[in-house]
Amino acid sequence: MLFAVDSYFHIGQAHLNAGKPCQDYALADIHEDMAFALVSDGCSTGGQTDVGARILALSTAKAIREHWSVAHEVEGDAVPLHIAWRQKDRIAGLHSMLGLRKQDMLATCLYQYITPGGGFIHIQGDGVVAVKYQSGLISMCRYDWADNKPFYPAYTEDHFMGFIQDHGGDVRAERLTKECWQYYAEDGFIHLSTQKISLGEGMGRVTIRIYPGELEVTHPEYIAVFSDGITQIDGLDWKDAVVQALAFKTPEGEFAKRRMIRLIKDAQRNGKGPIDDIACAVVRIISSHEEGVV
Amino acid sequence: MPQIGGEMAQFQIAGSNFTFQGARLTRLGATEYTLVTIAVDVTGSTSGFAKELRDMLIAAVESCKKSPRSDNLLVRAILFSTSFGRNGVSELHGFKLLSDIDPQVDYQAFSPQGNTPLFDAVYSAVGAMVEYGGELTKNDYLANGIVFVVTDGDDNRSLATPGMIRTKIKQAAQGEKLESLVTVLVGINAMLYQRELDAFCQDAGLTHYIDMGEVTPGKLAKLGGFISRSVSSQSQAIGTGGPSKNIAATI
Repeated sequence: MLFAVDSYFHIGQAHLNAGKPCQDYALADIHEDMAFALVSDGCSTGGQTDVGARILALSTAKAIREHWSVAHEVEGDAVPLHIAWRQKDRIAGLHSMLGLRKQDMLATCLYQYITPGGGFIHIQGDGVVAVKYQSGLISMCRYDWADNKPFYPAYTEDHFMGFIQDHGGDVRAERLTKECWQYYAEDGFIHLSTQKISLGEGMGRVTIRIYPGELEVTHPEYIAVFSDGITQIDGLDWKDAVVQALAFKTPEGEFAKRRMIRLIKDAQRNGKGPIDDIACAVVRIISSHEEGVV
Repeated sequence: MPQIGGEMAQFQIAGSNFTFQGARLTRLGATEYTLVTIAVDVTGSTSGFAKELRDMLIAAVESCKKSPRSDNLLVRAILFSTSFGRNGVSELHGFKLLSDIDPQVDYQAFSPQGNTPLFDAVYSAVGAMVEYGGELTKNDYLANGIVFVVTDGDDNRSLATPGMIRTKIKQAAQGEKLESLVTVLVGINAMLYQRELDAFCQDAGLTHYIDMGEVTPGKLAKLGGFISRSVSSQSQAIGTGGPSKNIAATI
């Protein structure tokens, strides 16, 4: 099984008009026989979170590469925890070395860690995860935090105390909403579920597992993570935005960049385009059949 | 629809019998490309400087290979003369990545003969660019183009007309097939035809006509450099919504 990856991020109209930098970042790479792709979204009321988002993304990428080089397996609940621990370690070191403050490090991180033997997608914050299958079916789930106060990995610094207080102090309170839909061209959108997740569960334990063998059986073609900017494109419902973002014309090279650039251009023609910064990172799974052709 | 085979696909210019080749999209990994066409007159009257014309073409393409934008260029090279039959155009190669072009091998010595199907050459150059550009745009690539047609004489045998060329150029913008298109007609040893070539440039809606006067090896070397710099400028203009404003109307 082979993988191809690509990523893209773009400044939103709000930050462009306010003279602020893009606070979204995206990264994707192939390391040995593993693929990862991630997006990070800096808090717009934080400090220099454009820098924080990049530090978080690069730290996460390094943690994933190092983990795979040593462990060469991704099964079990311990792996996301291990990655989170390495994130915390790196963020703490780097932010003090660069003279940054905690407010500068407030950024979300959605990442996928995909190997021939399975993998997982880990959600630290808010955004959208989508899978497009070879059949054309698209499954998508949107994660939103109440009061627009998402979880940030940087909250580990005070053991999440401030974050928990901000959300009312009760870790059992259901503060994260997961809304899942399915799309097929012939049938349109079908609502699958809306699930409420507790504060405790939402803090670093939202993981979508891809079990060994699942890639060969279910035939996903693309797995994508998006920052919440995909839900804020003027005049475009988020579900339509996801379908359009995954409508890759050709799978070569910078396939995700081409699609996103065109999506944004079309959106700007029909309205204001992305209001918030937007990021996406995609892993393409190249089936064994295609491998022979490749 | 392109016919598929190998690394190149065969295309046809809509509404004509002109065909051309272009790299299959599976070869194209970038987000944007500048399409470049260089058309060289190899009619009988150019026999006195055929070697210099070839050297100019080689130098232009080699220079493009050194550009920081070289990975975002697709180059097509054609020769024109009535000796090539009905459409008067012989494609040395279709739109290819620079890494796939070896000028010393791909551009064999020219054998000038025949009369001048200038309008056919320009139509082939522009039409192929608009067609291929449309294919790229349809598949989410951003594309713009620049055409150079080097001639020593006026048209005397074409099937295409200036009106057909003008229509194709309009299609580039109106059909949103290319972000912008720059067309440069270069006259060498063509002082006797300056009025006709000027008129052709106007009638066909070309961007510039440049009269280089009498041919000298030095001038053709300069032409090679001009082509390369203009390609670089047009490539840097991609994404701005319009053509480069840095392409000189003189060499």
